[in-house]
Amino acid sequence: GMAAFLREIAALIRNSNAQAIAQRLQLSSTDSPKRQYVDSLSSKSYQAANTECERQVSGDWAEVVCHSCLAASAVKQAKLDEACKHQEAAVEAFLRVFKTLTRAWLPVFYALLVDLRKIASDADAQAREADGGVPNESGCLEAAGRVMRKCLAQELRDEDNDKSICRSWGALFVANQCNKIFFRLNTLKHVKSLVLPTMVSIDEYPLADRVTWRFFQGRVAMLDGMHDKAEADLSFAFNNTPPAHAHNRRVVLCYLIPVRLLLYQNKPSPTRRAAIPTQELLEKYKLPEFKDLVRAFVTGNVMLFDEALEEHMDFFVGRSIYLLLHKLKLCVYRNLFKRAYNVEKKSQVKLDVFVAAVRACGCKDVEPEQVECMLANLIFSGMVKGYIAHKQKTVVLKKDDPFRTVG
Amino acid sequence: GEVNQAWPPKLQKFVERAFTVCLTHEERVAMQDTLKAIIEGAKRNNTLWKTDWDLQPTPKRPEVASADTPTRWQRKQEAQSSRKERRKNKRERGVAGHFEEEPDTEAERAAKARRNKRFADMQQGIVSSAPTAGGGDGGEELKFISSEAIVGTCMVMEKIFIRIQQMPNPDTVRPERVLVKWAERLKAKYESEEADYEWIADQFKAVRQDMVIQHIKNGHTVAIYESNARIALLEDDLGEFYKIQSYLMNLYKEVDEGDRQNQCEFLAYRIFYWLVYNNAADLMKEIKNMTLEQKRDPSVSHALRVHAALDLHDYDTFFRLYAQTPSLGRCIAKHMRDKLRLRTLRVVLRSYKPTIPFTDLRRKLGFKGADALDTLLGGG
Repeated sequence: GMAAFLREIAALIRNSNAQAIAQRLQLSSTDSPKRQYVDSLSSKSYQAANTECERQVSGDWAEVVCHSCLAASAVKQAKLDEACKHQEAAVEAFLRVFKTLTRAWLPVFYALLVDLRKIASDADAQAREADGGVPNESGCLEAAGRVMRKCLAQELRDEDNDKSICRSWGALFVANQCNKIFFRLNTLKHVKSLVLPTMVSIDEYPLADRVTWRFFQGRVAMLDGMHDKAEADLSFAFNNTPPAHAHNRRVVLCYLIPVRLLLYQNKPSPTRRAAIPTQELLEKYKLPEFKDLVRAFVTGNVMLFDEALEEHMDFFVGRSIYLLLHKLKLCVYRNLFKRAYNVEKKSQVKLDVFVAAVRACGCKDVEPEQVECMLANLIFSGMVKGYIAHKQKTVVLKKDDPFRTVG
Repeated sequence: GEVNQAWPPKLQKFVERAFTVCLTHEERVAMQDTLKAIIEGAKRNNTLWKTDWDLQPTPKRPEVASADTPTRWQRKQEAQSSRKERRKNKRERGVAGHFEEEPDTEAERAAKARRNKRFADMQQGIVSSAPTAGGGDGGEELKFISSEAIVGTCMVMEKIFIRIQQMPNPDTVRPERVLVKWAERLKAKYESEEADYEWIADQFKAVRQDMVIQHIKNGHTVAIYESNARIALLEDDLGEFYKIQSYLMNLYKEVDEGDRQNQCEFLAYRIFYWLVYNNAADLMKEIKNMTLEQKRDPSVSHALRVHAALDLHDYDTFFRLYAQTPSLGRCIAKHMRDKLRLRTLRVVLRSYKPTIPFTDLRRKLGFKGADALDTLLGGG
């Protein structure tokens, strides 16, 4: 009957079968005895459920199983806040057991944490909807973040065991769960405060964990304006994500593309030129939002650039890349003026020519003052080599590579 | 207490007073010892009858560890012994595998009982309420505010600001109608230049404090905060402005729709504030949380376009927009303008050769009169 599931778990615990336990405790588990057990919980009091659990499963494991199943039951009844509390209790009960265990039991830990994050995130979303879309300040996800941060700081500092079996091997996975939470909550200071245990060096962790870690490091670097580092981290993440995981690659590209474009703007060179994404790449990874933007960037179409930025503003703002992309506008002007120059390649170009080029993009009402302003800024920043001769209303360009196509 | 004929009546009262501060049996026992010592001492010095016991300070409430709660030392011993026991158990069973462990110490059993109760309560819908934080101006002060709002009874309008350390007496707090009236008067005094800004700012601070203490969050509160913020802007007091508008932006979320009419005006100011302090992170957060309607509001849209211009050092667009800044935005925007002017000067001097007419330079820097530019360049 209902106790079959509990007896099964008890046996798995005795046999130290961590993988099997993890699979069953996961929210996504389709295990039939578990489903029956979870369903039976909806009509039981907490005390009754706890007592029944303790009859079959001993020690703190009883609370781990009881609470994670109660969480599953609460999720089914859409009582997400309650589910959160139960899942948190399951994690805390597991930590009491975990103190005496080795890395062999990490799969259970991971399963409980991932579910905690997901339930907490859904609980916050549910509360937001109830409040009419107002983002709530303190909620379940924040609490989950606190729990995980504490795990990283305390539970995963294992000094009792040999390195080969110590619990610290779970640190990077847990740190990544923290990152997912803190990026969702936009609390950068918590991201930066994560410290990994010294026992294991970064390169020793599993590749999948390292990819996720470098991805988040890259995003932090981007937000700090350290574009070279960001490019290195994000490239690593992209290149080491299996091509079959197209969705993950897509997520990385959302950040890699803007950063590479910005680096190109700062140091244009033939090699960097190759880093501009092709329309085929954008098609392959389902990134239509970038298509118009990139095309506008390459052709120097100022109007199209503005429109593309505006049309997909929510997409870009949601990923915190809007401001970065906006900064590329100066380079768009540069690309436009370069095309205008390339028509005749004269070293002295009338200002009117550049004004006409901007108007040809569709900005029919643009004033010469505005175009001059952009030119002056391009010259000042070194993207264009030359000067403006005011009296003659002419731009005098250097003979050799005036638009700095070679870094 | 015992009635002793050999004691002065005032001493009797003193003893009764001393016992009223005690709350538990243990405390009364300890107090008895203290009183005995005082009385013996007075007898020895022959002052038992000479002392005016009404004027003697009541002895302090004695600190006694009651039988129920263990002393800190006891708790520490228990924790140490339970740790020792756990370590012993671990060594005995070795490292690999899991050994089923019953909660064996008193502390662990108590913890488990607490957990059980918490979840049993939760199931019945008994929610343990966390103590509410005060959430006062800026959040730093007023953290001890009780969750129950008090109603002020002070009818005196004028009040200087004093940082309070604990819940104040209701008769020092002004009720809502007094605060509203006083805030109106303050605004008028500012406009007629009857009083100086320092005094007005201080008075406003006290008004805000009284509002927070009484948990008054409605249209009146909004109006008062808005007036205060605008005055701070006019006086270029950006520090105070920031504190006021931080509270105000949260306030808008809690009041009715009808009281939020000026939210976009202040949202625009907030954007300008982030721009002056170069705070891209908070600006991004702001934009993320904005509704489409807010983005389209004229003031907000203007502020966003100002940001776009500043980001590209587009002085041409910036000065055009600056001239059209709505409401009091210029009070903040002028700081950005000054910064941009210096950069523009460098840009223009670098990129225009060999010369550029003075009038053109002046126009590019957004100056209307010749004198201002003269001053900037140090006498032409």
